[in-house]
Amino acid sequence: MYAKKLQSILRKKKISTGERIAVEKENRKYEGLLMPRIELGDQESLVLKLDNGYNIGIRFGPGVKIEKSRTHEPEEVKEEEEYELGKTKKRYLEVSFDPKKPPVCLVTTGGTISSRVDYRTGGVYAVSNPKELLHNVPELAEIVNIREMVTPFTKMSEDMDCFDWRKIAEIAAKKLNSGDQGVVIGHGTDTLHFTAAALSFFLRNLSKPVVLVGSQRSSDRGSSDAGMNLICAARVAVSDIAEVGICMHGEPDDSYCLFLRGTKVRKMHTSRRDAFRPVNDLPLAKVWPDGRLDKINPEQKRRSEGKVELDIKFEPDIAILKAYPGSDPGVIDYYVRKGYKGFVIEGTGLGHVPTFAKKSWISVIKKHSEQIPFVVAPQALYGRVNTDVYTNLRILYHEAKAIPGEDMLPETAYVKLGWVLGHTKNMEKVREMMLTNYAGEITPRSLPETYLY
Amino acid sequence: MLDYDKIGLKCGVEIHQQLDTKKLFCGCASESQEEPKAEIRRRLRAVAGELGEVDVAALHEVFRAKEFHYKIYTDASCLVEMDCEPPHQMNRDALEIGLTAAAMLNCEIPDEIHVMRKQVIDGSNTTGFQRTAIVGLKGFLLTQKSRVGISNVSIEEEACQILATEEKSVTYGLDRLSIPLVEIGTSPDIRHPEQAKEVCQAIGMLLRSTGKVRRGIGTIRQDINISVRGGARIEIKGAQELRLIPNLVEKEVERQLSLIRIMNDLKEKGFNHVKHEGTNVTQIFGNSTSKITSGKTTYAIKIPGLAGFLKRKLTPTRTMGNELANYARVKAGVKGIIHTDEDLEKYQLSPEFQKLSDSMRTGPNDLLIIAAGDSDSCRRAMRTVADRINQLLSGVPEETRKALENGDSEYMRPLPGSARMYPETDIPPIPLDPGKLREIRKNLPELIEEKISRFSKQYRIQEELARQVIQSGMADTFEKGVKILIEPVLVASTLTSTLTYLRRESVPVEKLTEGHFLEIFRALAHKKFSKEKLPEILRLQAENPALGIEKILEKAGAEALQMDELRHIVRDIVSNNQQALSLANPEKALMGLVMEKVRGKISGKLVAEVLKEEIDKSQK
Repeated sequence: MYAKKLQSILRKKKISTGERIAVEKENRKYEGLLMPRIELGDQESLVLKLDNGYNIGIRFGPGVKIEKSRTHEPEEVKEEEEYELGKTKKRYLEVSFDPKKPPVCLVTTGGTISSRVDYRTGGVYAVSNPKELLHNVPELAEIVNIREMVTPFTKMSEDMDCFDWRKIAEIAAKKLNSGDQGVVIGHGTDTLHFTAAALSFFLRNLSKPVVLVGSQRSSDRGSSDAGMNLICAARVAVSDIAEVGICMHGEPDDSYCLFLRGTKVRKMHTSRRDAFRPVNDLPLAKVWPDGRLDKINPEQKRRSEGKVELDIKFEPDIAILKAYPGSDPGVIDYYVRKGYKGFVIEGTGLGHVPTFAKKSWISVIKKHSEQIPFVVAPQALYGRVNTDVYTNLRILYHEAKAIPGEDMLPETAYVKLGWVLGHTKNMEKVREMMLTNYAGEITPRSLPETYLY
Repeated sequence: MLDYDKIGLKCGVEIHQQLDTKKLFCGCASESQEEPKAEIRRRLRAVAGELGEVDVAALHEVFRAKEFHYKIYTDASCLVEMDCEPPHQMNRDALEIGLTAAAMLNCEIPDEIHVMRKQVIDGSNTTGFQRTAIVGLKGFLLTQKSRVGISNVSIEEEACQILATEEKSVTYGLDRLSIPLVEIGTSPDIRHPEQAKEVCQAIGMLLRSTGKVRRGIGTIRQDINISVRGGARIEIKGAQELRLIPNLVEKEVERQLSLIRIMNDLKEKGFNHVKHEGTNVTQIFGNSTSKITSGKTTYAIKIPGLAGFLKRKLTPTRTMGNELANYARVKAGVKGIIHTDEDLEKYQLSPEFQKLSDSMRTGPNDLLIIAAGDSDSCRRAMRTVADRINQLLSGVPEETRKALENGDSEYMRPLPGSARMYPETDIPPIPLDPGKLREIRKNLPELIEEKISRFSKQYRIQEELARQVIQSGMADTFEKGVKILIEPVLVASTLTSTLTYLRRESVPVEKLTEGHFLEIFRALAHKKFSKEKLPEILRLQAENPALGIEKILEKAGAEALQMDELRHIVRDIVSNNQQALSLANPEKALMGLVMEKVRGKISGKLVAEVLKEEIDKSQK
């Protein structure tokens, strides 16, 4: 946004962004298109797209003249305008799918994978016409028949919550029970693994693939990973793996994707294409864009005919806490006063909290653990919580009655706790359910090859 | 001699100069000292609203067939070059050099710099675009002979270097990606081939005057745009050597004039467009004894009425046949073409061509062209040849060409339209501080040529010596040194030839700082040692960079004592062996005696010198 002063001058001159203007400053004259201002940089500088395609900023001040231009922009610039600010031309959008291919539903929820760049302003917007997504990845038509695209909402994934997970689960269940062979869900990557875990618990008796997919590089660039991720996701959606999982690049190369179990996957890098890694588990499968698919993990369900059951009862008032040197357990009291019903603690090492420290967590946990569950998951991420090896563990799990989260990821434990508390508040039952494996979230054995896969 | 004004020569140059800083958007070095440690393999995809009216489906096909391999150099590439991490902020040194260049070229400098993404789809950027920003506009360059407009000065990132090209893949090195470049584009104000060289030279010198550009092969590149009246804009890339530039321009002018003449001749002749399609003639050529066609698919095309035409010269060293073969190679991927305007004996294909001529009912005025290979590329080759011949009727096609050693050029690719450019939203706009800009404008570096002539006048040293001092990067040290030690020639030669000599003797002269030099000059000015000892003092200082000048002199003094001792010894020996002085060669006789006493302690050369002096003295 331009500074208020500048905005009012532009209004007075009846100049709006996208119009060709002439600017004169200290005998320098420029003509070009007035661009909208992004939130960064000097809000008092006019951004002009020159005829050579470059943008420059001209600081406004006394003596600077702005006028509508009387000249025309060159043809190339005009041509760009035809792209409707970066959208694909309408006549290119006729994507036809082969009805003989297996029907698959595509759900888009926002994030980089369903964003487009306005080529003139550089602004990032959600794809408003879902066909654009398909236009960019015509290979999809060789794999699946996308009968319908559903967009329940458009959000960056850091803005999502459990109510969004429910909406996605409802659509997936409905589509799978009405003939689609699989569901592909486009999603922002930041919290993709939370949604994946939620769907793993919400979709009971799953008989078909549910594939979450995102991208780490925006789709305006030729190097975007969105295309290959989508292609591989479509391959998985028509495979016989009846699991919820994330399908993203397996390595920095554009070679293959990994399909990773929804409860055992985590974003482990802020920006790499292969940011999603399996934790305490092997990938379900390696998938190549050309259709090859190697199953790696023997623990996986096969496609079947059964109906998917939707089970979306969820307690939203739960929190993740992190134990660390000097951490104050007072936050627990704070949350309890606010009415929170359960906690996941990211414990140090084998699952510790400060025990004999000045700010010991034990008494606070003890105070509440008769009514409120405390589930401990390893902040080391890899490995399993232990309840007995050290005195401090014995105090936490045997005296203070914390629930050991086995080899669950903290994020998965969080989603699972909300789901369990949606079903029961009975502490015995909660403990029992937290220790029961529902969706591959707890593995019975710790396999050496799962570390840093 | 051509009258270039009359034919309407218009020429502009675009210069790309690598800067001697870290990479433009990360902390990597701009040069790798290592072998590549790993490789990543990527593909590019067509993106929404791809350039112009490109058939997107076709573009997908193009991309599908190509894989890009990127070699990773751990010292000169990181996740940013791998397109695995957003860019960091723009390197401020590079920006400042760009602004300096813009100011030196009298440009208007924007108040705020906006980085743009320029789409590049050949894989030479891992992102699929090149980051570029305008730092100067509407400037001019005054050379001794002319004034040339500067349309833009930009800071941009260098592309990857191609290491290998295979049929289905291209291998690039990430070490070169994102080295900062200054790009300078002139207006098409150049009117003469020599002037093109002069302008390139002047801009190159101006950039080197900043003292912060990279030197060596490939660190500066000149692209030249050339057109004549009735011709078309041709961009010639890859002119590496300045001396080639006038020749390149001359030959391109000739080529365009030839093409215009050909157009007129063909029109006069009433030449009609030829049909696209070639004919599969594998039956005739497949079993030939010639390796060129045997066992391969061969296609042929007949061009009516153009016999002898491929012998026509476009430039003194390039025929129409060369040009057609060039298009067929680049556009269709065949090894070349063979035609009836050349000696068919050398291919051992005469009988086959005879048969072909019969079967295609070819008259004496007709031209036959064939290509062999796989059937797709042959068909493409025939279409390419026919297209190019038909294009002759409209004169000079706009295109990008590649400079050849002999001044000719060859077809490289169509002239790119204005590439799509859109804001790089990962990098916030950079507001320029007006105070900082004033400072840059006030402290513009002195041009190298001006500095050379000033040094030679002001300090009375030869131009050549002045040039050496400046090119060695020692100009500042020189000027400070001269203030201390009023002997410009001595200071200059110390900083140039003496250092070169010491470097050859494996003395680590790179350890010497300006402070060292100035201290040494000061000691010399105070006559703490004699100037003959300068190399020795420099050596000691380079080997002991942590020691102060007093300690260095002490060390040198310790060695000087040996000289006194030597003189004593020599004197003793001379006075004790007076009879030897009457011999024809007394030095030879006495040398052995001296060396017996001093061997290993001092160089024989010094001994010989001292001995000669003493003998001379006592002979007097």
